[in-house]
Amino acid sequence: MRGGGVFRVIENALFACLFIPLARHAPALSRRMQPIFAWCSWRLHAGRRRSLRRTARILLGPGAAPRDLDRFGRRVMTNIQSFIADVATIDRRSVESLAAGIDRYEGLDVFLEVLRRGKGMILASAHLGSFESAVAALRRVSDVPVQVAFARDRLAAFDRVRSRARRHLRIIESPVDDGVQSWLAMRDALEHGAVVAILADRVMPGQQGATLRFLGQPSRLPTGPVRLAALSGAPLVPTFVIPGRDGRSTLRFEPPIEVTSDARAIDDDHPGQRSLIDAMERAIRAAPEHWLVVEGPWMNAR
Amino acid sequence: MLDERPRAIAIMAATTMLSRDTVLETVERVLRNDLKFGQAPICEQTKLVGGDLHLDSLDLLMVVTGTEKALAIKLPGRRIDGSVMSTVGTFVDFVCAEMSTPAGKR
Repeated sequence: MRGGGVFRVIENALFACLFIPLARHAPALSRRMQPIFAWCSWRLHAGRRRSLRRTARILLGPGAAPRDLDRFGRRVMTNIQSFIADVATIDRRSVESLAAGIDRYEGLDVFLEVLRRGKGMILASAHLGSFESAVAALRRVSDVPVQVAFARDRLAAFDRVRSRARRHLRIIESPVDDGVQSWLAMRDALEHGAVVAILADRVMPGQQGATLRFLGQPSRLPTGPVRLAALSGAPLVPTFVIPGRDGRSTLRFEPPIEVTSDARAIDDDHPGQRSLIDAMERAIRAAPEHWLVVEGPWMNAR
Repeated sequence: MLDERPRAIAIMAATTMLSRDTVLETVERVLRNDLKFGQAPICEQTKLVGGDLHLDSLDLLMVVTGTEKALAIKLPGRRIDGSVMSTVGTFVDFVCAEMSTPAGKR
């Protein structure tokens, strides 16, 4: 959802005036229009095509044909459109119907066990599937407060509907763009036994990140989840919504990671960071076209 | 009674000075040890945000939590904004002000 200059202004206006109102008020028509929007996003932005082809090459392997790379890129764009349309309608649906989007659970006992300890927990995830559906599913088993670390989107219209969706699910927002205040709020929430959800596959504003090996590539990744775990004493639970081919998704909880080592010196040998990266790689490889990242975290020049 | 007042004020002032020095030393120690700045020049005027230390928001969280732990206090996160974390000195002033209130002590 990143772009430059005039394109971004036009795209923002299109989203605010056409795409989001359509998704909210005429969902059937919106679904039919999504391939057109996805095609436009793919065709009109050369930078996006380059970035997605590069990610496709990494995920599909060096033997992938140019046609496969383009097909991958277009599917990612289509999935992004579906994701945005989905978020736009969340506040109009019941929590039960949202939770129904997830019909398989892996490691739910892990989540419940960590929750029982009452030390708070950090759900570290990637841009995969619907986070809101995951929270709706969690609401079936627990009423624990959920706080989400997020960066405000460049598309203001998307930001508004996303905030509305989160209010609907009683998710407390912690915009990391606000700096240390937001991190302190998350630290305090963890001390009170809350769940803090945070993405671990993109460096957010105000963070420096670290150069780490990810999907076989030197990448710039955030260290926030691991550092917050080290500073708060809360365990890190890698958690992913993995969309299946049948339109249903699996909510996967990986074993908790206790971070006891240095909170600042994070490199490839840091055990907590490595475990988190390994878990993210497994999840992304399980549904690569649903990894909704246009500009990958890759370090090397294009 | 009147003779006692200047002495009491002097003691209070000395205590406050000592507390501020202690807080300053603590913050410097956190920066040198926890954030690994070692022997880098750090003084009251050292910028925490946008300065030579290149601290990101998580480093600032480490400064706050390290100081809290060392002084056994709890700082109110909602009041810690960019102006509080501007320099080492502004943060030390904030910590001292918080320590002087009953809520600031753990």
